[in-house]
Amino acid sequence: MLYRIKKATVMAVVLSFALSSCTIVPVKPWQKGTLAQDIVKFGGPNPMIKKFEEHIYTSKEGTKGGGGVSGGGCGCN
Amino acid sequence: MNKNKPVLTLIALSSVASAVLPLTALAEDKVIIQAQTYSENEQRIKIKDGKVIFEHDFGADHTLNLEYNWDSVTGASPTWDSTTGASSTVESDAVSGPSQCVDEDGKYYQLCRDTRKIDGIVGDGHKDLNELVYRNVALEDFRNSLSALYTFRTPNARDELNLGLSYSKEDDFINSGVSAEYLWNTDSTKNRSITFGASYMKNEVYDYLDKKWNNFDLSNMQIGITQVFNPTLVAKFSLYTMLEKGHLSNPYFNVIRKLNVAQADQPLYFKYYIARDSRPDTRKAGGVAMQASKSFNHDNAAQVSYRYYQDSWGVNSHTADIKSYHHLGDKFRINPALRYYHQSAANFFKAHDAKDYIFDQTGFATADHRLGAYHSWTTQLGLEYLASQATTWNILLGRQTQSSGLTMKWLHFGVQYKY
Repeated sequence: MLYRIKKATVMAVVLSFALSSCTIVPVKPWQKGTLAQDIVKFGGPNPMIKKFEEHIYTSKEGTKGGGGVSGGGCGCN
Repeated sequence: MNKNKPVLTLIALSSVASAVLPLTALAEDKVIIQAQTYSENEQRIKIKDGKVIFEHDFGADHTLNLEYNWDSVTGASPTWDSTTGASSTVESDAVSGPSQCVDEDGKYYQLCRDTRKIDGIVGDGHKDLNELVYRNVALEDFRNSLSALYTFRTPNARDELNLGLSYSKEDDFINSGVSAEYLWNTDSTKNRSITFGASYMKNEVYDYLDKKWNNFDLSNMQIGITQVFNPTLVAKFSLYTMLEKGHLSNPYFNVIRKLNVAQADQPLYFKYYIARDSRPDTRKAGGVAMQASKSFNHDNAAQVSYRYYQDSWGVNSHTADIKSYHHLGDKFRINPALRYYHQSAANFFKAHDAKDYIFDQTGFATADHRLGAYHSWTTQLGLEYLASQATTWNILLGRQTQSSGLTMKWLHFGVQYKY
């Protein structure tokens, strides 16, 4: 039951983001200060944490990809 | 942030950590030192690793990113073995021959096939399945890796070219790779960009039984479109495809095969053998990825992402992730995250605890739980201490619980210094 609630929450938030993305408002360069914040960047303020996370996921899951083309590999047996 | 730099440097910044390029990221010189401890339940894997990253701008158009990583792996990983540990050695009736193919009466002493000729068989044949066990086998490994990413920005359009190199080495694994990615700003407002990327990795894996190195390659292509929707929302949609070719079987995993060891003109006589993990030598994969980042106000932002994956082995997966950042006063920032992952099984996978876990003599076979069907939940909580404009300390706790019973937890900590 808890899993279902968590799953529904995740899907609801993802969907709300998708729906809110339907309208494009032209943004001037001087209006991009908010999007330039560290906490808004994809990958977050510290890219190393993102790298650690991706290393764990690609080592322990049967699927990978979609996060870009750069980076290395490991045996990870 | 260096305020003396041209405003145009506010456009896109790439890093080795994430090739997902927001339109409005900042270019900043930085040094990051980060460490991690990781452990699994059931006395399985423990990892300690560290990373050092150095990123420096050379003028407004050039950025160099260098990264060094080391890690040590200890503990154990589960696989099929015989209760006597016979599969861990090369000594078997693949060596001693048909003499092992004897029943209680010696009936088939002269009639059994020579299992030396059956590819992938490890260890002695067993009449009793109780003599075979799925258990942890100890391992130890060390890895060092280096990577470099060079970014060039065109003077006027501020398009970006990213060129990457990577190399890592373990006792039993060597990886080297190259990547290239181009970000094209489709208009002068730079609210939309299209990213084209490709990479190639060459991998060498040591087979401890055959005592030789095997190769496999990984090619990856991705195309993405990033759109600024309004002053607080940016999103990216990507398509990706991957091709792995070569020796993709894992030398550390075994399965159980049931073999008729009698010769063709004799009555059937079955034995159970430990056999090697066996996978197709080609894996084609692809999918879509979407992510969005939303700022609610100066102190609060959230990011969501979704990825769909499928491949030629019959595996598909869904990944959804929510992460948010919240300032607590001027000095602290917390970062909770929740991730859901679900995957289906490869069409040649049989779980060790399934009703039917025995493979036939031929055909692809794996008991690697990472190719099985399961789902997982990951929760994380990070805390950052913003000591100054330049220095940020961080600590993060994470935990993943898989429906297969595996539980992992990790702790990250480190410091980032911008100059």
